[in-house]
Amino acid sequence: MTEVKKRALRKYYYVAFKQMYEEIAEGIVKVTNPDGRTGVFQWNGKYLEGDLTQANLHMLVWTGGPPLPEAFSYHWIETPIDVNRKSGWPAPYETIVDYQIGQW
Amino acid sequence: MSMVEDKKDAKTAKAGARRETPYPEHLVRETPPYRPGVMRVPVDRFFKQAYHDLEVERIWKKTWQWACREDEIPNVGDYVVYEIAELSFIVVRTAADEIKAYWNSCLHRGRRLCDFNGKRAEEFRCMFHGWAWNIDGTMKDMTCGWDFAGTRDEVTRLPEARTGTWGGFVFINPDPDCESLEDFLGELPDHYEGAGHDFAKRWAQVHVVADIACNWKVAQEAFLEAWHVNFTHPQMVRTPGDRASTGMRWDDFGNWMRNTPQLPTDKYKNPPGYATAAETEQQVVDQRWGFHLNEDPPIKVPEGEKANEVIKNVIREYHRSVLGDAIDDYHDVHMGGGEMVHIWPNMHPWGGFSRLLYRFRPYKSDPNRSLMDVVLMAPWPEDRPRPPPAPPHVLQPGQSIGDAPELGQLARIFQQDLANMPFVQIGLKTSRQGYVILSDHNEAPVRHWHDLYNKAMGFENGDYLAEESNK
Repeated sequence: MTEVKKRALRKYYYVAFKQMYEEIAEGIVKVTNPDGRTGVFQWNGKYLEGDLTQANLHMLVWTGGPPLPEAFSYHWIETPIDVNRKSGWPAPYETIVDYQIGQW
Repeated sequence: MSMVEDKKDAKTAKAGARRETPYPEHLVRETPPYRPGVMRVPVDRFFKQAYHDLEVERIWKKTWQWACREDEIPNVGDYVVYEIAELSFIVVRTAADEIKAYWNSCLHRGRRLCDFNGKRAEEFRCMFHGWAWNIDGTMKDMTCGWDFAGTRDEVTRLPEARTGTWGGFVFINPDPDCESLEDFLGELPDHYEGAGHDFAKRWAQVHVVADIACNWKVAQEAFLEAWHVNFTHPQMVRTPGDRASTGMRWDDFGNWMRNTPQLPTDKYKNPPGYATAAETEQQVVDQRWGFHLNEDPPIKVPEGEKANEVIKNVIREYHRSVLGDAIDDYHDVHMGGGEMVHIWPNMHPWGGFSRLLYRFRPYKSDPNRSLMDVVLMAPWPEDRPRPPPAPPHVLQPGQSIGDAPELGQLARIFQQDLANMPFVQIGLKTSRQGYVILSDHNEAPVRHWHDLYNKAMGFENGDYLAEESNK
């Protein structure tokens, strides 16, 4: 497993099943059941180890799926806009957006 | 009283008045619940070539469809190559106030005339033997015309598709005998422009195209209903004790259908919402912005306050930074994201201040592959020059939509949807049952869509292609 060091590891509470989902390494998620059992899974749903052998795929995707660059960690309603810039994007995002679009 | 307090009181009073404002007329407009009952849909239509081939003839050659944005072709001669299934069209601005569309095929030997989008074209010249047409579609150069005796009248004009515009979108319909775009859309423009959400004034800030290993209908149906949110997006939860406000209503306007939150003014009874209740108000805010438990949430719900109020206020204040105090003319109901519109056959603009816009297309002749366009249509102040629309960021087959971070947290939400779609395609092919079942209320828009599909395909009296294949 490759340790993730540059960003905070993600941790979410799955309200419907009262489970905790914790990213413990890149693409690897530990799930803790209310009864104390734990299991470790790949973010695509594959079971790796532990007493808990099943988990919600979509919580695994949400917790351990490919992370966004920190600058883009916003919700779509509030996607940054700078009405004073020709590009419409705030300066810190502008070069990254240009880079992304330049890939196609 | 200080000036600051004066201003604060005025703002509070205005906000209070805003909440008491009657619900927007376009949202109060309600239709009876869609034709009741469940629906069984044969799975064959999701993967068999015969359906794809018939769809090309009866849908893509016969239907109004969104091809591009007007601001993608701002100058005379600017053009977009619009491709749907194996069909290709040139959509070109021929005058300041005129846009035409041509079948993208040379009238000599059939080579596609244009391979890429272009700017300020003066002609469309075939790269095979050099025949050329002016941008108004008239013949310009019939090279070695002396060798084609008696055929000039056949090639004097490029065949056209009909064009129309709404909200800055350019639509085409290849059928010369089709109804007008205005008739096709019906009262849709009134619902947007009347509500103060004119797409013509918005900026296409982001445009991502995902290449997905499933039929275009499979991809689309993942977004035709909201019920899947409860399991496919399990991080999304409703505020405790507020089940009724998360209920939804489906309104049928013929060629388009709308999902809105239920309103206190509704005449027709709909079931209450199904979303999982959070245990705390903060959980609702956390899921709204994707905050996780290993970080200090940047937005906190004050003691005794409701998450939904906090969310609406944050969204309103964000849009104030773009639109100024004009944002106060909008009802709170516009601040959420729960209003979706599905326009037959494949266009999905959301309502209110949600920026979302989807389009689903078959990939060339492959019934097992599709393209999903995601566009963010951002509000933009009218007194500032609008940036050019974002060019499409086309992802490669199998590439994660997470590689389009300009979508923000939405990219992560789509990752969840994409964790289903290719596997739905596999499961449909495996299905021993041979059909899928669509529910009465939550999947009414999917039933509505298949009713329109059956009509377009000539299946009103039964899906004869499925019946033939099952003999």
